[in-house]
Amino acid sequence: MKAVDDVSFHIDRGETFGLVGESGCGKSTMGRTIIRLYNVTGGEIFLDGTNLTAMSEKNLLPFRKRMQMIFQDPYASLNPRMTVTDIVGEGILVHNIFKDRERQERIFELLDYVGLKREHANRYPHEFSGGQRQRIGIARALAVEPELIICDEPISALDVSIQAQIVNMLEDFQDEMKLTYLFIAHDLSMVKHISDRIGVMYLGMFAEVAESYELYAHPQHPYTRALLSAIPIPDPDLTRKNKRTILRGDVPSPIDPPDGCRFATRCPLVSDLCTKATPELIDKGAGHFVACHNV
Amino acid sequence: MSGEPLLEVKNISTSFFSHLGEIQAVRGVSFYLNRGDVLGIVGESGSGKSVTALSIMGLIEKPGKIKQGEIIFNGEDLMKKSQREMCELRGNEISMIFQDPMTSLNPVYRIENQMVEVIRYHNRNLSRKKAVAQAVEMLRLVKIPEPEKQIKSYPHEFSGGMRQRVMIATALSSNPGLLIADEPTTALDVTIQAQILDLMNDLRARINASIILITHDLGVIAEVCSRIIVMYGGTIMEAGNERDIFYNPQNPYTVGLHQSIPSNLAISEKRLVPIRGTPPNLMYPPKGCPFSPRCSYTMRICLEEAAPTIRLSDTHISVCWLLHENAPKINGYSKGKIVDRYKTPSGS
Repeated sequence: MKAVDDVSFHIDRGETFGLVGESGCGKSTMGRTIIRLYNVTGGEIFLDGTNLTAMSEKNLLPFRKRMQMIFQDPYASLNPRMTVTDIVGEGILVHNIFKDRERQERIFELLDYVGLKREHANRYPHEFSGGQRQRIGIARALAVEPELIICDEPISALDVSIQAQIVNMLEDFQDEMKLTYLFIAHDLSMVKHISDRIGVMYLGMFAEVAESYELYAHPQHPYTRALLSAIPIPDPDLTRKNKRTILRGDVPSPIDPPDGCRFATRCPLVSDLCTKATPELIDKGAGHFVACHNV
Repeated sequence: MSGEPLLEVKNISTSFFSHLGEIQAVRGVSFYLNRGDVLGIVGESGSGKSVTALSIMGLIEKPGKIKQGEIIFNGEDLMKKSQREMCELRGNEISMIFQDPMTSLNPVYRIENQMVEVIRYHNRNLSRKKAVAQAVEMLRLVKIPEPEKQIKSYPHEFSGGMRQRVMIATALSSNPGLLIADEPTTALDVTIQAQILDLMNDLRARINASIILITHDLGVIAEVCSRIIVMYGGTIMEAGNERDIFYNPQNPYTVGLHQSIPSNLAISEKRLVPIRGTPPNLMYPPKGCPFSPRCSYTMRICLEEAAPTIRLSDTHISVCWLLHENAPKINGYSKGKIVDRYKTPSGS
């Protein structure tokens, strides 16, 4: 099964690149492949000019410090038998950054950053709410002073009122620490809010890549259009005006993807060519890339 | 549709008596639903919206208990009915669909068997052949392609969206007076969610179903609901029609919810305005208003006494001290008359 197939993109330093798509489109696989939680079966990954694709675990260690990850499920991603100190401090230990008292001081500082208290340091994950756990996950990611953070659906499991807290915090940290984010989510309105550029994925490939505002203002790929029109808008007047494109059927299985364009089975614009040739991602000007024969 | 409302919920409280203590999941909730209406209940996890629905269905099991209140459906008090009578009612007159369509369907039986079982349970004189024909018609109604063939499938052969269609078809097969949908689209992708919401709007028009839709997503509410209840900490915070809740919210919690989500069309350079803090622990709910520890306008009385229900218009009520005539005037918030929350149905 090719979860991600022949996808190329770059993220600039200090940028937030949003990756959106429905379940099974390969967005999480992409994030996990970049930090080499999965091994690449074809293609290359460069961090700051260094090729990470075939690097040994040992050589990879210093690069792992520069890339961290925040996971979707704040319940599953924290070890229930470890205290907050152990969780947040593990990276500091592995990368040998601080020892003993300095390490503890750094952990307190990190807890402070993410809005937790010093007395939380000796507690276990089950003593915290979902939002607080996600803060612990963020403190863990920040502990080794990374440059790139892969945020894999960091807010999907949280309540609406807590989501905004976490998003604001991630934005603040990006400004203060000059962080680069790969922000993976299925909630398009939040992705638009936080991202500079966005890539829309469908069945393991990019359908469209563009600057955030450009993508929402002038979506070109029929899948992007359908996806955008499907977002329920919390404004009944706009909802009534919104001309919705309802897609037929479901996403095909990635084990046996359709020939040609992968969106052809559900596309309202489908033509003969679409079922024969896979469209390339072509620059339509100003960094707006679209993979479609018909636009 | 005039006359008696289809459903009246009067001051119900439901608690769960765990070893840790009493979790007061629903605390004095009252509302009503007219025939043909689609009522949305919106709230975050732990707001009591699902427990309210389960209380109506009579599905609260030990250690849970409905402590007080009345649930009047079609003129009858459901609280006075026996377990057996409730069994007859459930699926026949009130149906419910749940968030996760996979766990709601039995993986080892074909769709046909599961639908026919429900149809014949509620109509025992029906032959199997006729029940199958009815099931096929229901699948056609929810737009499953080739229903005669698809009905032979097992649940795992269907995608999440298709399974939710099967659940809706099964729930509607007895032509219930009331359909309760608890987060029916939360587990689905947006394009599939759009299909299901489209279907619900279509069904609402075609079979004049009365629906209670429970969700955490104000966007979903905006798509299908004509009346809306906002819940928080086990209580109703605000109730009104679509215009009231979306364009003239009169409760700081509702306003906070709106400000927490990025608006869809504006260029969102604007920072989000989160609600600080976390929802209350319902084992020890705040003494006064449940939102008082997180509210920007908290007054002393908010911490000490439960807020009064204040009527702002024929359709709109809000449970908040800020709207009381003795409270300071805050921009954007109006004043209204205190009404008895148990006698006056919330909403229209």
